[in-house]
Amino acid sequence: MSTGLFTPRVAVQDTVAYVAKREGPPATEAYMWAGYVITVGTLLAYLVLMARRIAKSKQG
Amino acid sequence: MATSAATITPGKMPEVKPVDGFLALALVAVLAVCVRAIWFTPVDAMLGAAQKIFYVHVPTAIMGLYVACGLLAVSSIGYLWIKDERLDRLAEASAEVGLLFMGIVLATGPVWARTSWGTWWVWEARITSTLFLWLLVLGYLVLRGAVESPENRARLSAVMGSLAALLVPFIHLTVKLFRGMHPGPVVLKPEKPSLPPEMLATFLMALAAFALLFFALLRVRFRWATLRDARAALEAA
Repeated sequence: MSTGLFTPRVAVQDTVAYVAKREGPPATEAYMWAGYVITVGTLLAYLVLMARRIAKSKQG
Repeated sequence: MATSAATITPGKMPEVKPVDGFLALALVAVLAVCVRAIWFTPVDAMLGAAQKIFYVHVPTAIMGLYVACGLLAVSSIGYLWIKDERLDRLAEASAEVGLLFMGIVLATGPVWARTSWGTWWVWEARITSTLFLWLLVLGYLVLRGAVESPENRARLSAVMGSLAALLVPFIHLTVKLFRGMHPGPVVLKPEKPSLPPEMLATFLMALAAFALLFFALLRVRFRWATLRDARAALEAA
């Protein structure tokens, strides 16, 4: 009975969207891939920019 | 003005490669650490695989905010003091590579926030002040492109660069000064790091790999600025 009374208060105080679940971690692989694609894509785009700048400066 | 005549001689172009050995090593290190983080590091029980964004978000934040902006401030103040063109080029390179790294921080943060906080963006102190710093550094680079005279460009941008970097200590303290969504220190704190050993090892490797990449990109960007200025000097001669 007392556990039932406490549970909603604990849930309200918790500011984290996800809590550990019995069935395991939430399926957030798509977000992980998005983070890594953004990082690698941004770095590759900058490398291409630098290669173009260097080529342009060498050609004059 | 004290010039770096040793690095810029009209008629003799500095040798610059887009990808040299140092940059290739840094790229391999970053790719290796991504593979380790994605496939060989445990999944967080509460956040799932999205927590692995931590291994790119935090190292790029450390390099983009603390190292890049620190270098921007030091080289800008150094330029104002001794008027060496190489310091101006170092400040310019630090600002641009720092803008790139901070851009990655600001782009990956919302993706992680969506899974951990349930929202893409929160106008809390750390995120908002980091966005302001990114805009200030962008403004610094726009200012450089807008001023024709090299001396005026170097002097004005050195003032702006050293002032923009003042925001970094404030951003560092935001988690202590304001109530927000960002957690406090996870690794660098008086107690033991709040990460299991496997996650801590991956994080430290990621930090080393992104530090290598930062300095490799800074080197290429600095050398290109030297080549560009040499070309300009040759055309002016």
